[in-house]
Parts: sequence; structure tokens; C-alpha cells
Amino acid sequence: MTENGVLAPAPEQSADMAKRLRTSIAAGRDRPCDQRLEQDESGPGCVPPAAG
Amino acid sequence: MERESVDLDAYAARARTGSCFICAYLDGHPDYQHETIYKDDAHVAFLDRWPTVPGKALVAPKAHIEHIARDLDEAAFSSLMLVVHRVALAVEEVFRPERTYLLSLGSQQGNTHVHWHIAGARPASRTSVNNFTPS
Ligand SMILES: [Zn+2]
Repeated sequence: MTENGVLAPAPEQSADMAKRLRTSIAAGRDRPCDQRLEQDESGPGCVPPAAG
Repeated sequence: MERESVDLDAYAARARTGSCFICAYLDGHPDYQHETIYKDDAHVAFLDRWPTVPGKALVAPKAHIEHIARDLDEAAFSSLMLVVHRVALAVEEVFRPERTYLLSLGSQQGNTHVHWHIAGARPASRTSVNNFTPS
């Protein structure tokens, strides 16, 4: 394995990576850091960390 | 996953003289197939065919837009970046990178169609992760 060059995923490896990413993207809005401020008139965004 | 060397001259020649790789992929051209991971009315995200790190993904507007700033108004740019954010969160969740790199590259001599690279950088790949040329 060299440091340069590209990875050569087998087709089934690519398909598996894509499937996992598609699943994660589809579930994205349930992630804690992606809790939309739906009640907040400022619009969508992550919940800001607590002050201090 | 094994690494293989890449013929950068052949790659550059193909980028300069071939079809727009994103438009060809969207048109279903058999030589430009990618694993699609996200699609909406205006955007598409897919796995890099020649990834430098596992799970390297590209996000692009479907329209053949060539300039990342001046060809997009605020609304179009913002919605593109929301897709980048969404895909990057998925890359972070699935591949647990140490850090996430975002780059918009391409050139007017090849790979003109605006696209963002999303690359999860791992500690072990620090020395090679900057090689994003094959897109
Ligand atoms: Zn194009």
C-alpha cells in the first residue's frame, strides 16, 4: 500500500458504503446535532450549546 | 481497501476532452456511473469513483453551473450547502473521521461543473488526504 494513489473499492464495497450513507442521510434529521429550531423564528439550525 | 496508483496524465486528458462527468453521470452514461447517495430536485450526491479516503463523496447541483460563487444566488448557494452539510454529517456518522474536509475544486480546463468534495480525514491518512485530484 502506498501513501499516494487512490483506493480501489470493489463494487460491492462501494454499494455497501453508499447504502450506509443513504441510510444515514435519510435519518439525518433525527440526529441530536441536527435538531431544528422549529419553534424559533430564526429558522433552521442546530441547537446552540449552552452559554458558559 | 487496497490503494492503486493513478495515471494522472490520462486522468487529466479525460477531464479535458471528455464529457462533463457530472452531466454524463446524470444522463446515465455507462462510462460515468457513480453510486448515488442523495438526490433532490436540484442536487445530487454520489461516491467518488476514485476515492482518496473511504467514503469520499461529491455533492453537485444538477444544473451545469461552472462558478461556485457568481453562478449561484444566495438561495441556491445556501441550499447547495445544506446538502453538503447533510451528506457530511452522514460521512461523519458512517466513517467516524477525525476531521471533515470540504473542497470545491475543478477548473475551466476540465471538471468545470461545480461540485464539493466531502472527505473524512483519518489520523492515518494525514499525509495522503490532500490528494484530491482524481474526482
Ligand atoms: Zn455538467
